[in-house]
Amino acid sequence: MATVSADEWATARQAYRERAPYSFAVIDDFLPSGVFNDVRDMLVRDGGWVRKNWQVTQLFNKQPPIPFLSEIVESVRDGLADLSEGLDLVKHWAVACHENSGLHVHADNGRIAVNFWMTPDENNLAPEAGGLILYKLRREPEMMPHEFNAMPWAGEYFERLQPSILCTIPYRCNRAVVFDASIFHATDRMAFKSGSLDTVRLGVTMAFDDPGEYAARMRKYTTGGEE
Amino acid sequence: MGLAALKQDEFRQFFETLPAVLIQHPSKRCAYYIPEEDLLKFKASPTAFASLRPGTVTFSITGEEMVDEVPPFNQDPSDSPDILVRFLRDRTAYLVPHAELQKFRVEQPKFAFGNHYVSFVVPGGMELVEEIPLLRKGLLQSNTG
Repeated sequence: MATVSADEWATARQAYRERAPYSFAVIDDFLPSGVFNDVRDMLVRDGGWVRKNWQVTQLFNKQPPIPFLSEIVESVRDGLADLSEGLDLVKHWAVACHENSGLHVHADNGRIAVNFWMTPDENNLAPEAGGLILYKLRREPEMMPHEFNAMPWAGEYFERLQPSILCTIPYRCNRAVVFDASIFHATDRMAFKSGSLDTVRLGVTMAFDDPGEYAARMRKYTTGGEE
Repeated sequence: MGLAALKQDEFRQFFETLPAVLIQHPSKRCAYYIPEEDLLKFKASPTAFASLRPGTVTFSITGEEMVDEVPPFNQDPSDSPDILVRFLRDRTAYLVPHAELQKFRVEQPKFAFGNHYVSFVVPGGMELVEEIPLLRKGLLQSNTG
């Protein structure tokens, strides 16, 4: 299912390495058109959307049954080559910004995040925006997930350190941003056509991590923070 | 995390098909009973999902392996919420606007409606959320995943 060529993956790996410790790479035309259409159709028609909690203004879809998921995961692992050694998909989710409001600043729970965008560009009324803002701030290894991923904790940490912007990556349909999941990031301002999941900003994120490390991090929530 | 073991005499029922719903609304001293054939008419479309507002109260009909982690909450100060019923087994959802809900208004029932229904209670606000232990709440408040 390769659309991204071996050379493009090599360029992405090089960019990812050179930008350390704030590693990221941008890959356009991420999914083959047939796969893209099937994934998008599934997301738009699915009944799994919900306001995840009382803090967010977006709709979430937890672990949506994305067509070709295992093939997409394999293509990412192959493309990232040694960067993905020991890593596997630990979680994936989709976000629909139905009120043209993006996610607060946070870091993701994983080693590498792959965020790709699923709404055709003609619905994006502000093509220079709508993407992702990466900041020059990484979470500390000992932080618990809510401290870097949930409001108000992540916001307070961010405000205290006042990091500068590392990069603003504009929205493009079928663009993927591969980044170190420990980097704090937020959705850029956006203006998509509203009124239907067909037109609002849809994004999918896949979190790759060492499954053992991920499980250990999450175990704290069932042990009250005691290991 | 697996489902907790059933307590003695605890009853749990899993629905193979969409059941009717009985929604009790204590602050309005009423209830709404929506038969499954009527609920089906409110199947959430891509347009309906895009209209979800903060005041929408979400209820989930869980399955054997599919449980909802977030308790219902009501952010509508007027306490006139729309209702989103999620049937996790087949990943369908049904959005009943508050005005439509009134067509199904019944007195607080004093009898059982039958076996194929599930009952929910509209929270008055955030009381169910406030009962969650802080650590758990931290996880539920996450931006992602």
